[in-house]
Amino acid sequence: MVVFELAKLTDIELVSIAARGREDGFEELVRRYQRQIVSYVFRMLNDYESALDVTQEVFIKVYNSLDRYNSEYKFSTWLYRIAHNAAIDNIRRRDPRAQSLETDGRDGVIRLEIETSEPSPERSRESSERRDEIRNVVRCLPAAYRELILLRHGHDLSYEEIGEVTGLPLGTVKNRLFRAREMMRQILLERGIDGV
Amino acid sequence: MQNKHATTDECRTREQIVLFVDGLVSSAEGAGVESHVAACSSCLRLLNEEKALLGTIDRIMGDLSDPVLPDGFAAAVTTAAESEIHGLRSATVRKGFMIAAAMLAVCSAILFVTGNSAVVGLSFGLGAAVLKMTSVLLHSLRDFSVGVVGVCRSLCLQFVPASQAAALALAVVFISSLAACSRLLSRQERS
Repeated sequence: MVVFELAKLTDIELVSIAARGREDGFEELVRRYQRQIVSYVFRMLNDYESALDVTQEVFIKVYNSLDRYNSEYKFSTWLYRIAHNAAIDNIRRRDPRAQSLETDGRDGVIRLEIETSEPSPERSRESSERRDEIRNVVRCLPAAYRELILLRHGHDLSYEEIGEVTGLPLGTVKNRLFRAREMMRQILLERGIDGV
Repeated sequence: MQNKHATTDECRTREQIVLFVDGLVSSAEGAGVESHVAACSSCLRLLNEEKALLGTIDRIMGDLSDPVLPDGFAAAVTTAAESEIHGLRSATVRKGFMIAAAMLAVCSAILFVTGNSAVVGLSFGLGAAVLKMTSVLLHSLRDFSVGVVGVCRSLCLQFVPASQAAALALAVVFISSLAACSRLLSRQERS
């Protein structure tokens, strides 16, 4: 089968042929989702090299688990779920304190540190001041909130899909997204960005 | 977050407005919100604020530039995944080798500690048999290789004086058939 035919196949068909040992089927799946996954992981980790490594790790996990994929679920949701776990593992490896970051405080507000790391070389290459400003707004969000904003507004996942990816109940997803948006509104107002 | 349905006259909380904007309310509740905001300026203001915020967030996320992927990333990932599952880095294969190594270590330890001559003799006998079989296998492989080289050499010698192109073509055919055989064997192994 030639490449242009593979591009027409659905995700489930590609998973099926990749599980039978067709490398080109798996490569097409990687090609189809590599941009979304590396973007998602990059926004989670804020580090380009780590994002590439974790993305590769994610696809290797997918390859090893193809026979366990349940076609009742969307392939993309399953893939994001694996990427979510890999990103969280990476964050915890780099900063063991992050383990406690996902738990709710007494008032239900997540206590997460606001990242203040030095700008990466990747970031310093950005020429537009506005783009830097916008990136900072997203980076200022605590990781657990930032992830929900990313999945909902950057990757167009539904609330149910976000629940499947993050393992959170639907009510918690709604609640956290609401808080994340409110936090974003405050940051935007403080920075004088129009539109809120 | 509250999910209860409010009456048409009742003002909505910001959370309820957000759910409405996100399309997460029933059609009856949605109609209730619409008719309420038509008559309530404070709820209409909340609704407009939320729509503006969602629009801004969407725009911000759209403005973020994606990281650039290196050329051939998909192919490199596929190769890495393939070698991971078939090579020694594969957890299954590695586990098998570790079990075999552990068993050998245990056998060696038993032999060393007990110093049982019968066991030692049996072990040496088994070892000698394995070495003998390996030797036979290697000799057979060597003979086969010599035979293949001899046949190819004589064929090439026959072709070279007539036409160098024919010899080259023969070499290409030979190498291609080897590659095809290798591919077929790997597929069979995988299936």
